[in-house]
Amino acid sequence: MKNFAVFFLSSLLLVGCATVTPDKVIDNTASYDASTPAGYDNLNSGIIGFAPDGHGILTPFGIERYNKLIELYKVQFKFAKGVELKENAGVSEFLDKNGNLLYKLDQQHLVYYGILNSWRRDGKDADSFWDKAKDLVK
Amino acid sequence: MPGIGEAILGIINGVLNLVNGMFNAKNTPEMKKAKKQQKETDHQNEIEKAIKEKDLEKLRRLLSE
Repeated sequence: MKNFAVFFLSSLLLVGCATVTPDKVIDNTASYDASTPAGYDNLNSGIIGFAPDGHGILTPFGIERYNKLIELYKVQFKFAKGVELKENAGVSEFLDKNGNLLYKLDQQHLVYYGILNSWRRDGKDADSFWDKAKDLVK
Repeated sequence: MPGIGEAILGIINGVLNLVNGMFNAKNTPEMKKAKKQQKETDHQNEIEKAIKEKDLEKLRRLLSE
């Protein structure tokens, strides 16, 4: 009877062992950016700050990474969000007060950048051949 | 005595079926997909909030490699 009680309680505990969807991976620190101009903190994940109009100001490597993510997930993003991203979408050039060439990214595309970055950190596979083929057919 | 043994096995079978039913109810593909989508939406909201509030440190964490 004792064994049965142990078995019964163990079985009930197993009910709580359902598959858990992992939380999004979020680092506690910003990543290093070697393309940061002098005078800025280079632990910035490629984003220097915000322009008065609310757009993000990004470093050259920040924009490069953004474009790389578009290349990796362009088709899946289109299917998931209904938005077709192209290279440099939402990007414009920006000169800071010291004449450094930086880039502005509008708020909407900054959100898209965040989504794409979370996909990569979660280990989502890049667009496959079949994703691209489906996109061509549609 | 065989009757008692069968009864115990019947109870065990019933408990296992109950556990299995509850486990499956929590893990249907639709529920897994819904959970995943909810987390995606929460994450997107977090990014939007960081941009709206111009919370640079938070945005840097969200955009880190």
